[in-house]
Amino acid sequence: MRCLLFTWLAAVGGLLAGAPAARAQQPRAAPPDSARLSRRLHRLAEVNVRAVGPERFATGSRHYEADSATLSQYRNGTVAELLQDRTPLYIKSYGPGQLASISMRGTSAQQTAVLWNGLNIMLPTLGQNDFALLPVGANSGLAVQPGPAAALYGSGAIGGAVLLSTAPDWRPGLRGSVQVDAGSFGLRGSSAEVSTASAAVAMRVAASYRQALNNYPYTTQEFGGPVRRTLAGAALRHQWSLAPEVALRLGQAGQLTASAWFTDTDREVQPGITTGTNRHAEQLDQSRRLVLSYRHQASARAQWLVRAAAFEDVLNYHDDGLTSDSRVRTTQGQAEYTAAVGARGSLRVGAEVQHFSTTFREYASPLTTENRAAAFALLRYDPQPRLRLTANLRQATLPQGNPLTPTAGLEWDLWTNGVTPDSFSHSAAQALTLKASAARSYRAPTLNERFFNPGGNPSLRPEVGLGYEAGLLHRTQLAPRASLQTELTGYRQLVDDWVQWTPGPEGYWRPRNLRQVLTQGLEASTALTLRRGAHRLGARAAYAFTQARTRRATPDDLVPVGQPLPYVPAHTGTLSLDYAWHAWRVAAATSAASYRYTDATAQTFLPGYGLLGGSVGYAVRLHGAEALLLLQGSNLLNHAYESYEGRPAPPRALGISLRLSWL
Amino acid sequence: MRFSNYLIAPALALLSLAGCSPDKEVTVAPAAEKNNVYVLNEGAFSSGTGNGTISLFDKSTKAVTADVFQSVNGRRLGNLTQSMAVRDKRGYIVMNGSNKVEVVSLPDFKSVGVVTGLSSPRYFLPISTSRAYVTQWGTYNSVYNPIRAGIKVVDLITNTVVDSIATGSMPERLTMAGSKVFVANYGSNTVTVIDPATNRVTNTLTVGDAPNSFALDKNNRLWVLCGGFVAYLYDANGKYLGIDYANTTAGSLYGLDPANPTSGGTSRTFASNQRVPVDIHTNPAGDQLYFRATDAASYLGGVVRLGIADAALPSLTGTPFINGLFYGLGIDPDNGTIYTGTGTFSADKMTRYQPDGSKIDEAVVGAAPNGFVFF
Repeated sequence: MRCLLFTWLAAVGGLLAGAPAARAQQPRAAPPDSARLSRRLHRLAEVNVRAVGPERFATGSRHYEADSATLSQYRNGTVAELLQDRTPLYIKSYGPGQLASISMRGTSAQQTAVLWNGLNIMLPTLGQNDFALLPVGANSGLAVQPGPAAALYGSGAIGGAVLLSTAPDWRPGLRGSVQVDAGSFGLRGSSAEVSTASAAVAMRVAASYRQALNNYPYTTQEFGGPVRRTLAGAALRHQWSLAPEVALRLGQAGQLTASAWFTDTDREVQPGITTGTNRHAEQLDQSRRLVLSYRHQASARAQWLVRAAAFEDVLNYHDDGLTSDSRVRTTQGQAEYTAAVGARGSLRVGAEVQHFSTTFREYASPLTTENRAAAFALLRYDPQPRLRLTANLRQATLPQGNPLTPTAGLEWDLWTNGVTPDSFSHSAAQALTLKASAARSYRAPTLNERFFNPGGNPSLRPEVGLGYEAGLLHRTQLAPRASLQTELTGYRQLVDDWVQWTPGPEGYWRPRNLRQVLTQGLEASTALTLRRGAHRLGARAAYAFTQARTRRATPDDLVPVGQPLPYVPAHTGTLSLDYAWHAWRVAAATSAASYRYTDATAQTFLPGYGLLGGSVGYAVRLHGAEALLLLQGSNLLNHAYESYEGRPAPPRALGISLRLSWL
Repeated sequence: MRFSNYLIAPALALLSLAGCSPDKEVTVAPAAEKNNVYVLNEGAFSSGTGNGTISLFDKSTKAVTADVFQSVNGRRLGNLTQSMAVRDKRGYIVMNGSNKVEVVSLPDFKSVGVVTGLSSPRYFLPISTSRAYVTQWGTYNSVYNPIRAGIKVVDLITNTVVDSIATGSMPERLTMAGSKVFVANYGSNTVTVIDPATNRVTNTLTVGDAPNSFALDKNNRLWVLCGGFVAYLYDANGKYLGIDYANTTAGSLYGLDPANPTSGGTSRTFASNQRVPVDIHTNPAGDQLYFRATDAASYLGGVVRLGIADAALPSLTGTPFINGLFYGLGIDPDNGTIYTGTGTFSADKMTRYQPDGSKIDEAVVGAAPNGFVFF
């Protein structure tokens, strides 16, 4: 216990000690025109048909957005790697390229909604995403919103939401880049991105390829001492991603966008090192996602958006004794209308429908279908520029239960240095904002939970959560081009009807709405951005304290009250630094997680770990082109650890990449 | 700008997280004998990791020490804790998935050896101070016929496999009675009888389908519990549909004289094939038999009791002696306390009962407690 206290004190002390030192530097910048600011909030752009993002209706919630430098750095990596290095989220990973599932605010992997261009892309059979199957480079935006937000993002947004997006680049001309990567343990990769735009058409294509042998050494403790072995059966055979997008301007007020994302991943499934046998498990995952969206600016104060999407997800697993092939087709439709309400508000109303159709031998019927629908209304209202409110509501219609999930959010600038900032600008010299929100959330039972044979429970109710959070956001402009943003959030959420697979009198395991789980915690983060002369610096420290415990044991649920959930470390943190000076680029990322239990009754645990990674790069510019040579290293301290029990994580690994860009 | 002090302290703090471990620091190395109950936790299968553990229950303090092997030895026990045998203050822990037997000294549980070269080992029986038998199921060849099933003979001085003995299909529990070793061939309807002095098979007895366990009563009668063959239903595409009760045979109980096993045996068949009787034990007095009546698919069921002189077999489908979905059963040889373990394979507990079936207490243990060893 003592070491945890020390950690906490050191972290807090470090933040507090650092902040004033950084702040006491520069005179305040001149405040910008507050009238212009407050008006800009509620006016929709006329010329460009600009999207009004859902975060506009997420007042009072935390929001992390990977900046373009981070996205660029992880372009040949996966969303799992980026989140692991850059956020205090715990990613339970079997190894590089292997299954990586998320736990946000102490919830399960199925309780994080994953959206791509506004549409849920969680695998409908398992109801979760393998974040190792989501290459970063296909996207031009990656954001994380922790906390319950079902009114905005629908099913699964109990622990939070991961939001991936693409956006057409309307800057005229042709630009592109190609990159090749090579690294330790057989890592080879390449990627290309091309975008072009005229006045009426914008196009972007991003493609990437990666493979890895993952034949790295690890050490097991055996009778007679440590034994060094080489990992086998964990190769990433190939991982393709292709994401083309075309946007057309239709007249002055319309934009039609067609986006696609194809991924294809063939990999061996890493056997547990405690098992004496390798069952030669392998898995092929393919996803084909197509979205057609049309956005229309009805007036300066109103726009509507319709989306139609068709997804197909293939998951074929087989090993020495088992073959399990599944294919799910998802058809989704969304329509929403957004309008300004008076001078201070905006309202969005909309609806979505989803149809799932599954071919899976493990289900009772060869072709299984399910329909879900939801209607939502989102209201943002700013009674004063310094007080911003949202009230959101979603009514879902599911086969077993129709959860109604409202959200209320508030942001109140307690103190500003003479100006009124909004959420999206850093123009205030100094501002302290109170944020608070309360939300109900839900997760629809997955197709496996309902239809798996034997055991599927078609009458399973949706899981529901009721959560609150409150926090303080401090933003300060240290200098004209230096800002510091610090945020502290506390939250608490009770999730009920938590689904557990347990054996019963039927003679087989069956998912049941058994459990009640209370999650609570603290999140602290501080981010510094600085530009001075040729120096560009971004630094971010984030820490999370997470507690997830069972609240009530029903007679059927054998887990006693107060048990910590497995794979929820109490303490996680990251510290990242991106620095550029002339042609040089330096990045460093530290992440750490404390011990986590690996079973439901806190009998066994994995020790904590700390990791350090980084890169050094040099960019050469010639004739409108840039060549960037990057040396990268991960786990530089060569720490032996396991993110998931029995799966040794890779030791120190080095890589080199070369990128050529035409701007 | 001096941002260095802004960064270094949190960086150090973050890295220091790695040094932390759970608050409940483990106290182990029990000094006393007679009060230790080793709870064999097979391990969670949902994780695919199957990290088996052993929980130590102290009968005097009622304290449970989780994962005592890891706590003492600083390494994992392995995959699938199948069973454990004790001889001469040595514990032999059979790790089915890791294909090994871990040897610990008792009661301090320090690792003193390991037996490798096994293939799906199941149960361990020391036959002398220097020799032991391990049953193993072996593996399957390309047409799913078992290969390498049988007994491995282990030298307890060197902890190495020194010999093999052929048995019937899927040899399961084994026991010594009347100076012979009896091996239940779970994949058939036979019991292999071995003379431990020569390692030779002296007899193969025909019993009921799927013999799984033995109990020796106060009259030195050896009871052989047979579960019956379970048949499974598949559709034309090979998809599993459930248990085929039309072709599932009912369990049976055989009684024989270990000194003269070929004559004078009795056999009784259970009335229903809807439950599979497994895991037979006697009370300390040797006049009561306990076993579990399990579901054919989940392997879980309640505890059934039978007196050795009872004329009729108990019903397997009626209300059991102790109702529950149990995966493990053990009887304390000192006082007849009945230990049961649940089988969710994730969040499990053991529950203790008086010999009359009334509940004493319960405690959280590791995943899937399948047996109890008293030392």
